[in-house]
Amino acid sequence: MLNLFGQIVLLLCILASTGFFFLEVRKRYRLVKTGLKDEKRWDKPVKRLGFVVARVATQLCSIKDRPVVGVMHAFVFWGFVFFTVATINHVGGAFGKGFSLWGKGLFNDLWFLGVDIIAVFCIIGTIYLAVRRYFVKPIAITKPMPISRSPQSAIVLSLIFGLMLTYLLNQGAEIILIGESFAKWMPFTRATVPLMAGMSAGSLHILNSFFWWSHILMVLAFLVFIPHSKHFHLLAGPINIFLRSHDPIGTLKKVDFEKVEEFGVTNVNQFQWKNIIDFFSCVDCGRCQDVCPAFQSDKALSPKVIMMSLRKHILHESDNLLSGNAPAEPVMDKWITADEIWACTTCGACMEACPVSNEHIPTILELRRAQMMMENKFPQELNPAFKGLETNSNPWNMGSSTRADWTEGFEVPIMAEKQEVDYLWYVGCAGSFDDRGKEISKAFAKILNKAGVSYAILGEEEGCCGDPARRVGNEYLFQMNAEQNIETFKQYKFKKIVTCCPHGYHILKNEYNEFGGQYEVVHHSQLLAELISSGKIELTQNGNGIITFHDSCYLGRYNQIFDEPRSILRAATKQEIVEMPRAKTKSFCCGAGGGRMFMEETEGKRINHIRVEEAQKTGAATVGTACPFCMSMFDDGIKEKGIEDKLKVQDIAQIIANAMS
Amino acid sequence: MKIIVCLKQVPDTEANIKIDTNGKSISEAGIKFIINPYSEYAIEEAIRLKEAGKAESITAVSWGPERVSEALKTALAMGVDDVLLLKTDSYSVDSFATAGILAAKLKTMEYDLILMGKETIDDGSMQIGPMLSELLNIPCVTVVTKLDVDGEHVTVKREVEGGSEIIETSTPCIITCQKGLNEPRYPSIRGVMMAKKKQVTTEQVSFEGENLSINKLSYPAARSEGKVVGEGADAVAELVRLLREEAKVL
Repeated sequence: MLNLFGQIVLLLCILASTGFFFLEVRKRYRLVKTGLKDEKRWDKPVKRLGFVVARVATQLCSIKDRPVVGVMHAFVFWGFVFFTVATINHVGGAFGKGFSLWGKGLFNDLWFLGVDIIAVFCIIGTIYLAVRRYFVKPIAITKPMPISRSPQSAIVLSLIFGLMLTYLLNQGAEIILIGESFAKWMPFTRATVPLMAGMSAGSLHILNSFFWWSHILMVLAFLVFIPHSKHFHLLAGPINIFLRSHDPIGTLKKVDFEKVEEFGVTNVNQFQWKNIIDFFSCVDCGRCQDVCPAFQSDKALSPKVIMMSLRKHILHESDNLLSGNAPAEPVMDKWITADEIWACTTCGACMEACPVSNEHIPTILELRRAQMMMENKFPQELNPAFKGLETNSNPWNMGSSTRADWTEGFEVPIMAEKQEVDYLWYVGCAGSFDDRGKEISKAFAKILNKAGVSYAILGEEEGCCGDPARRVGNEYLFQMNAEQNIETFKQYKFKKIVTCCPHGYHILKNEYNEFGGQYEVVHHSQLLAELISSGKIELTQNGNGIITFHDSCYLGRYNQIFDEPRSILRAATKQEIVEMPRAKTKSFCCGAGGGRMFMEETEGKRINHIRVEEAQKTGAATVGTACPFCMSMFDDGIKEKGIEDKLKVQDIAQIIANAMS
Repeated sequence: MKIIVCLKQVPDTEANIKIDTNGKSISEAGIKFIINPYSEYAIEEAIRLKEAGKAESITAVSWGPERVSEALKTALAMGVDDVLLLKTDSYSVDSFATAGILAAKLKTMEYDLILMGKETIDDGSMQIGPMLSELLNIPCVTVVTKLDVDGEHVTVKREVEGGSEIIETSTPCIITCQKGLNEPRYPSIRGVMMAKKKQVTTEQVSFEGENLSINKLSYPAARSEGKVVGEGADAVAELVRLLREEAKVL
């Protein structure tokens, strides 16, 4: 217990510390409030809360991608949780001797045992994390320079370490001063007793006071520091996880051209409020860049840098924003460069990996939208693709009247003649115009015919799904494409739409509904799996040898389809698939997503080469793909590396068609 | 400096061209129309001159049926200031008659520089520029790949067989644009939205003194398939023989 003077000093310190804490939190809260509205963040609150508990309390958010680091972080996390409560006892002790929230009894004893153990684990955690950060120096936290060279982590690690140490020493001194009764179950605290053995009561009192004050002052310093640093994630992280989008990764919001005149994000005040919490939640851990195909192939983009740069930017502009003024400078060029936003393949690996559920892709795409639609600044290679989408509704600008030319020599029914079918087969641009894509279409047509499926294609009436336009920010062109397709779909009767391309699959299924197009869409892997399990197609041949499967981002991470392609490959090859180290949710992009298919890849390594090497290392003779863009990228990569004799790539439809008698 | 850009709307390069039942024109059913690619160089060059502070206004002029408004709207979206459609019921195959309707209107307008494509990809006569210059009595330089304007002084580089020539002239003049002059921009969506709201000024005109008409259109002869002579070094002799005796290119 402190004397009156001590109590007053303590109260003043607490007042100052919490005051500074709340001032900064309030500032950030007000900054978040300057964001644009975003309604879909509060639905299903129980489910959301459940997810927060499942991720945060268990620390799975941190453990799932980095088990060891994650467990160490969990030690620190639980230390933090326990010590938040322990601090109340600590302060209470200043006003009443032996104060405890739990009074006296078994629970109180257990509590002290818990804190005792947690303190030690927390020390282990901080030491591990400090060694990792300052001696092991993994790329995830040291690159790219200089953004990751902040002293914040050193301050926080020292404070946590100091907190635990002063707690143990303070309690140890109390044991000596009060006696054994104080420390029923405090094995680790007891271990500090010999360090102070033999000291006089006077010095012990001084030492005890010193540890006591150091502990509480560190707590209060920490409180002031948290909202100013990336350690604000303590608060923002769980909130951000609660508010995460329930839409598939990277699903974009519609731009209403009738209502708005500013498209995308030019200035930082055009972000939605949830985006701003993202910026405040990023803790610079680098899990995103560890899995980012752009960063891994030495391009300018690192998803965490986008988040941190925007945080810096919004804080830099806080005076303007909070007084209702426009930001002094736009986001692009000074805070984020064109090379960064255009390098993104929208693969979604960053969002999958992010422990605080940051949504990097929508942020990057909103920046692309403004660059594309407001500033007219975009990679010039996209010019012909846009013209093609506009005049011929395909990015290769092939005559729209030749869309169904691939069917020559095949029996492929046309919707205009059939009028009503079970499956409307949306072939897509790659399947209609790209030579390799056409081979997939032919194989799939062969299977559908043989299985007697009721289906038809749209032929010349089909248009691009709009994915290439939407992912590069040309929302206007996307909406043109989408509306045209929706009008065409309206003319016919069908139960489901089937696509061979995950990009068409995703956008028809998840993004057309905002424009009045609601369909049951299946990917050809799902239909093939169904045809095999129902015995409609028989697989007798096997000429593929060992096979590995490459998950397309838009099929896998975006839409959680992992099992169907694998099951049909197993059925076709009558053997297990050899998995690549990065598979399923952790699959590594082929490099073609996000409109990258139609842009040059001049910086760094080629993404498809990295993936081809990974596939080759499995020893498989064939890579199975379920996306025409992935197949193209693999095919190019294999040819460029000159390993055609060792590795070939085939779509699952081709593999099935080959395996049919 | 005031610039006038003359542009034409033409069928898309990838369009599947079918002759109409009358045998004298092409069927427009299912055809997508675009701005003539050479006209795009003219539009782009005009916009660049304006962006460089060398031009104060750009007016795009076109002729043809109502659908041409779309092409003019695209020009607006790219960045021209005003557009004018000289509405005609059809197109004329007579370049002089076409140049005539343009000249009649342009005589009533103010301009220092007229930019247009070196030819259109539909009829490809390459005549409108020189004919218009005669009718307006101003100089014309054709097939230009580089344009420098310095006040009234105009320096251009034009393509000639096996090389290029630098020509100097002065405003007012007509420049017909060739590929290589610039890389036309994709119209910004903001521009597209603004263009949507703008009206296309339209004036009804008619061709006068047409001396040419189409009698009959026919498809080019189908190209014969390629021939694989053989493989490896043994096939070279046969290939050379065929190139010399059958194809007569050696």
